[in-house]
Amino acid sequence: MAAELWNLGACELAAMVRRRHVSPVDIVEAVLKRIDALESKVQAWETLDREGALQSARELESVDDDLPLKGVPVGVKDIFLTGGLRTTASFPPFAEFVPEHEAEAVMRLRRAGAIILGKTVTTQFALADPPRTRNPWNLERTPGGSSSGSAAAVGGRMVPLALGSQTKGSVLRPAAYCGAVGFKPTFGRISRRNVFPLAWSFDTMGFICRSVEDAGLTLSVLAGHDPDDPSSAREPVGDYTGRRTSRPKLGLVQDYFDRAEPSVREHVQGIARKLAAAGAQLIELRLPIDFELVSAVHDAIMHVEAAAVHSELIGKERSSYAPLLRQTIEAGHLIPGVSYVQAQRLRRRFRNGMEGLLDQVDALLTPTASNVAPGPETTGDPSFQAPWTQVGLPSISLPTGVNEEGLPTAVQLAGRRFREGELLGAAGWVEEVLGPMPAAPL
Amino acid sequence: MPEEHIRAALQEAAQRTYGQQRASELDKRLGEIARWLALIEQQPLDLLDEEPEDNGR
Repeated sequence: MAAELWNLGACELAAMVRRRHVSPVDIVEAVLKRIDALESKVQAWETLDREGALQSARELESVDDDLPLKGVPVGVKDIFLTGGLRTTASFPPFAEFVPEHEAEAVMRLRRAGAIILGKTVTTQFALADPPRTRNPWNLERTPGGSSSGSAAAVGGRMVPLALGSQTKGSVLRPAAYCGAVGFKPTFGRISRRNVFPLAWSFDTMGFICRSVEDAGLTLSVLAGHDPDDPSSAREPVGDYTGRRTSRPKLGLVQDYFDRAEPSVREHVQGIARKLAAAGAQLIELRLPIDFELVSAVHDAIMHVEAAAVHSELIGKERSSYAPLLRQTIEAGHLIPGVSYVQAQRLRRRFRNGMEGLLDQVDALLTPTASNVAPGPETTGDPSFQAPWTQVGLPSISLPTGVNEEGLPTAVQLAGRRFREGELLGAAGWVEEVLGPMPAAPL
Repeated sequence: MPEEHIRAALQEAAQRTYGQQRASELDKRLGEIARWLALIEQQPLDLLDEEPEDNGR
């Protein structure tokens, strides 16, 4: 049985530990064996903490508490600080940086019984310079970014759960490209204390996992106010587990279908027909603001905020910055303050419009990305995931199968602010209709 | 301001800040930014009603 533990999701593993069918040590040993078999090809891990993970697993075996994630191994994107475990942000001057402090999200996972297996590869400071990580479904394709290692590790079934972050599309897109579930909650729902920022008004912590049920359990652990994080919301935490919306009303956002590559458009139209046949009510909707303007607003704000975040460090370490990030920072410095504020005003208009759209449906449905995973010279197209990050709405990507090239396909659902339970309820129904995702043929 | 004027202003600022060579290397990105800023600038905004976004708060 131990040989197949790597193939199970977080909920399944935690349930097996609770029933004492397996031990946390069995699970860690199984996933390390899987990693040993695949890592030389996929390169998902920046730092693998074998001894630390085994030690944590041994300690958990003497803990009687029914911790929700007891014994579940987790990967952590390498921009989250991990106490005693190096955190590089893929930035050469930080190659040996071992923090004393730890991200609140990581601490919450540990308190819930999760085992930190190691740090997953990120693009440098979570922007878009291509990583060394490859897509487990096709090693000649990108896993996406910036949560590249997290998506490749979960998609390659080296670990059932991994933390990520999304400033444009860095959780949902890599999850989609790698055949995994990607979840980004409402802005402020998960603490981002002790995580390297990229653009403060967008940065949202999320995670990549194997199922909607796993997403609900993980959100239950991570959600909640953090008084030491200025962006943390005080909204009450809901019940994210077990609820399923029967035959949801879904809004198909036509702007996305217009812009998707033809094969992606046809695929997701087919998915929509399948959902309708199963009982979903579908209505066609349009974005309240032109897609080009939404992208322009996002990129202008992100450039300015990234320039501010890195203003001091780039003065000392300019040559260590990766090309795209350096360009972003240097160009961002030149954008006038008035343009930044006008972009934020248009962003509010867009948010108000999106909330109006969501009043008509249970969730919005679109392709997650305009394409399937492209080559490794890019991290892919973030334009389809960015609108939900821009307006702070929760979103989830669900795998829908593989295309004729054997690459994963995916749909994205977005829901109302701080109503993640409703979104997961609709997503759970969609997941059930679509059926299980196979493992990557590695 | 038209896009080409915004681009010229950004290019001039880049030369002043980073020098001629680096400004040339940034030229493509500055062109993209000029397009975004022109699009943003073209949008009429309500003086009384449209304050900057504050992440839903």
